Amino acid sequence: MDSSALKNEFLIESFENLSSINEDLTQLEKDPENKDLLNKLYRTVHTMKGSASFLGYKKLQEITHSAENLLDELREEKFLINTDITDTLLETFDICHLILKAIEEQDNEGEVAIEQTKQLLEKLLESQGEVNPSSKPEPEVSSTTQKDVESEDSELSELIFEHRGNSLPETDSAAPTEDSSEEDELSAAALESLKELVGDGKMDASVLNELSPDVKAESAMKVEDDHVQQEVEESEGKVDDQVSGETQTQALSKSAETKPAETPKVNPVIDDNRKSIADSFVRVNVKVLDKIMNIVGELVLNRNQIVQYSNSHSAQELSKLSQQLNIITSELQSEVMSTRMQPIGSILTKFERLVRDFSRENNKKISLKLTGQDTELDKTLIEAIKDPLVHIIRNACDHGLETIEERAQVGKKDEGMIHIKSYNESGQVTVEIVDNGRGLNRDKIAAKAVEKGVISADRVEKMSDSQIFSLIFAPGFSTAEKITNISGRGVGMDVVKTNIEKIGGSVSVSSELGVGTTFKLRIPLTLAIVPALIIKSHQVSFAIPQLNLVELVRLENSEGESALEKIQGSEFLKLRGNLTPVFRLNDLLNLKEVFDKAKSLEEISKDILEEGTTEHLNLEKYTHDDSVLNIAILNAEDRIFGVIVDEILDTEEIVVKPLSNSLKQLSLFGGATIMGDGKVALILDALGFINTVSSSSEAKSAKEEIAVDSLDISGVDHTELQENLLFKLYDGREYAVPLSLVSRLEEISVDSIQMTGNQPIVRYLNAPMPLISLEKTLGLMPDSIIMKSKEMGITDLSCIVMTVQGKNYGVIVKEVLDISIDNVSIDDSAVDREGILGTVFIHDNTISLIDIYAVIEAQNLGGMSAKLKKTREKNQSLAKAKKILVVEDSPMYRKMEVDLLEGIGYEVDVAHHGEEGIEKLKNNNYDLVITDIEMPHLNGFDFAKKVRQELQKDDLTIIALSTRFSEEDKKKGIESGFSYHLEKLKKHEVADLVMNLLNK
Amino acid sequence: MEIVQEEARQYCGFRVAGEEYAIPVMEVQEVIKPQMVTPIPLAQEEIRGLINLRGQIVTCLSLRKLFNQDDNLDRPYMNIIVKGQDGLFSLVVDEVTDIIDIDKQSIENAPDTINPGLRKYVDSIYKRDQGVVILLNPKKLMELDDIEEVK
Repeated sequence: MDSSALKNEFLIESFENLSSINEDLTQLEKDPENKDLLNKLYRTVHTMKGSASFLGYKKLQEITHSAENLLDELREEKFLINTDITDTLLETFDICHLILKAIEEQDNEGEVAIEQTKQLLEKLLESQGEVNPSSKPEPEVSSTTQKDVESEDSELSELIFEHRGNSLPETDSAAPTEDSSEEDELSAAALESLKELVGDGKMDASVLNELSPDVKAESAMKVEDDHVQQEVEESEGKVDDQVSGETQTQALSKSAETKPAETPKVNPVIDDNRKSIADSFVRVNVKVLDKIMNIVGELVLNRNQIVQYSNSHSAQELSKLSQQLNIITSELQSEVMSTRMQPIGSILTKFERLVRDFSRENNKKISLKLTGQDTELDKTLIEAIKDPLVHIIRNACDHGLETIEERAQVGKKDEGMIHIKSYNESGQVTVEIVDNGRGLNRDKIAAKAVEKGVISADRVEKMSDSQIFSLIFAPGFSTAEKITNISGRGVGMDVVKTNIEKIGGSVSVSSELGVGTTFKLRIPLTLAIVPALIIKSHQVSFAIPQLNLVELVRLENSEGESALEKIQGSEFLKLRGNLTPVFRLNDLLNLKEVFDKAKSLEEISKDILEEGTTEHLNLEKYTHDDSVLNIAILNAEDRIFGVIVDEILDTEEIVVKPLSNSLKQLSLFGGATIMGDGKVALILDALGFINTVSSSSEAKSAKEEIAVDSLDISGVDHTELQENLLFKLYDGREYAVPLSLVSRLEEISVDSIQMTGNQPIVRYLNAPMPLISLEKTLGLMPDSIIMKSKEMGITDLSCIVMTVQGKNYGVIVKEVLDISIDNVSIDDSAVDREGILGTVFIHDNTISLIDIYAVIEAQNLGGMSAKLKKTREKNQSLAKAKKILVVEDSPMYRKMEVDLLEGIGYEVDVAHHGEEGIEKLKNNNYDLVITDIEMPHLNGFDFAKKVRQELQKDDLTIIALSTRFSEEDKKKGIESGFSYHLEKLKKHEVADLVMNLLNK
Repeated sequence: MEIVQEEARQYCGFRVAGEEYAIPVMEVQEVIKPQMVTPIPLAQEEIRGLINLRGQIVTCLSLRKLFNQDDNLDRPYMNIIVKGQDGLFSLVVDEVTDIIDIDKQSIENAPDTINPGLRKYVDSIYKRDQGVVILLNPKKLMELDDIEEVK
């Protein structure tokens, strides 16, 4: 919100508050024991003070602060309200009114004097409400006198006039000149003036009540003109304040009203100005807006129907009219929506106080920064996010930010900051709450979650940081070690989450230890009308809210088969390296049955419905082309899944209609809507859907698992399977690398690539990472793609980060295609160059398997590999026909090991598993055995035991290779009889060891 | 005014599976012909689906199903639209018979022998020359779903 919009909000609110304060005050005097009223009064004044201080209106803040103190004492029942107090308070608020006027007109607080009233307030506070106990019958005089004395030396002074009985007719006569719409403000002021009459004992309360609605006058007035003063003095006969300075005049009485025109310094359009703010706003009950919104919803539906009808009927006039209707309706819709829109700043500014109060009480320095306060949201949504926001901000103050000492210790500025950013993003409003505090502690959260039984310990280990962080939203979780009055009152973040989700939003958290935490709320703009994708399955239409939609995937013919993986009856879509669970809507919802039902129901309505009046469902016999798979990828709370549907139609603005309670248990439907053709369509709720289909809630994105052990998902015995990452190079052909060597997939911006010598590198994880162009290395293309990328207009390169011998290498590819989990056999008969291990046959495609070791060697990087290569070449001649047995089940590793050893010059024999190895050892003599550990039939440990014990071959060197091993495995290996235990991927170490052992 | 209503209330009569039933006419918003119905997957079987009544979504309740009768979807039917707690419902009946003026004296309490599956919906029984009319409580009809879904 820009400052003027904020100011306007403030003014409207404060004027309203003032009138209610005035009413309440007079009411309170009649009923001094009314605690509720007093509390309400206190709160209103408090709010005003808060807003004033936020906007930096010092005077207003000071004077309301004094009034607040006084009211606080009253609230505490230190003393009862009396006429003196009421008068002074009323006086105070009249001054507030003047200040507000000044703000409205001149954008500053004007030169309104507040000192004496303030002092009066303080005096009242000290004296427990008794200004002058002896002169009680005429308190007015005493307070005025007091004021007179105090104002003597003040150049500027300000005056409250008390109306006497004789001023009343004037007041009445002034009424017609005032706009009646100002009644609220004015009558309050009038009440106040009449109140004073009552105070003076000249009128009784009943007269006041009778008169108050009709009296339109302001009692507060600041004059700079002696004439005015004189007039007033005449009518007052009592006031003798000296008034000067440039101030505004407010209409009080006929005399006062006419005078301002004669005083050139007074703005003659005061009244007009006042109208501009107060009159240009109408208070409307939200219910009325809701109703209008509903009717507009109906109209939108009707428009959709008419537009659809006119499109299918060629009548020029009709289509013209329907176009117009279309435009008008859209306009009306957006205007009506905008009436419900409020800037989010209206609640955000209130947090200023929350934060300030907190920092004072808790030895923390916190500043609150707000950006994007003018971002607009539906009124009901604003209300709905208020409490969750309060909670998050309290949390940020309490747990997120450190105390001053703690901040000093870690070298941070002593003032912590909370930054609330709100902005529009992809049809939603995003509110970010960022603090620069200590951040979330992964271990602490994990430990807590396990302790609270939110999650099991072994699952925690597998979880990513963001998954751990989101545990704070789990019910029954609260990290607060000590419960303070600010947070940790049993209302956890889970409530925040439920409340945000209730309105169709989402909340997520990210954090960096020691740096800070960011909460991100995504909130739909409005609930009533949402854009949605219309899909059809088995001829039944459904609407999917656009918010949940990630992307649409269309697979044709054979693509579908290869991209879908069936694992224990569940289907997964391989989508850019992720295994995404997919569900067939037809099967899941039994849509055949639904369709049959609809069809028979339609038959009957067809007979009865008159021809042409209503469109029919037109349910033809269900035919569907199975060769095409349409998948809508949806996101429900970061759970990604796909829904296979028959047809994907268009997006439409739909009006969400709730389902009856009896149907609400079907959480997979978020409601219903009426389509352009008049049919009712159900709205699929992504979250409800995924909860319904996977009650076990295991159907989450398999992203993390895939690199670690995607095979755990499948539960299939995987020892014979080979996982490969398939990708395309710029020569257009497909290649593969073993997935076990891939650590990440990255996008690298061409601009971030640097050169050392001829080697392109990027900084990756704080270390330089060499980039490898396979096209060049393999001799497929003459130039490195990396060098040519700029010319080719490529800005980002797909990069497979592979970890070989503890070092990262970035292999640039054109496109990462897929992951294959297959029992592949590597065929090297067609290999024509270094760097290709062989070809494999995956999904009916011949794919070249890259020998990444050879590729890295060919880069001549780091000197080490090159050196090793040389020594190995030297040693090659020394390898005098030694015989090695390789026991390995994985075809890829088998081939790699055999190639390595044969390359050096050894004779190599292979066994596919331990059992076969034993057989081979019985019949042949080997100089050395290399064995894998994880193998079918007989694993590496048992194999070694058997060799030592059954075959009595104690001297035979057994080298065990495995991809990962712990200390325990090592121990077990030594017990089993391994001579050496090496990491499988360290090819050169293996080669060196073997050479050292055999060439001695 | 109240006395008049007490003495002779008007009921909307309808037939479901041969039996005649009635609900107070004041509860009925309107009676409409068969409409295009959108069935709801996985919903309770008494719920036929949703219809669009001038832009409002109406949940259709098959009284045949509710009364544990066969519900043949090809059979002609009528929709009696009633206002429920949370929106409009359509009571799907075989046929709407007539508006029946029922005076209070001819109403009897439902006999205990009445079909237990039906009893919870029955208010009372009206006896007349042409036979018995079972007076139903429409609120109970619409409530049922909650009870049913618990099982």
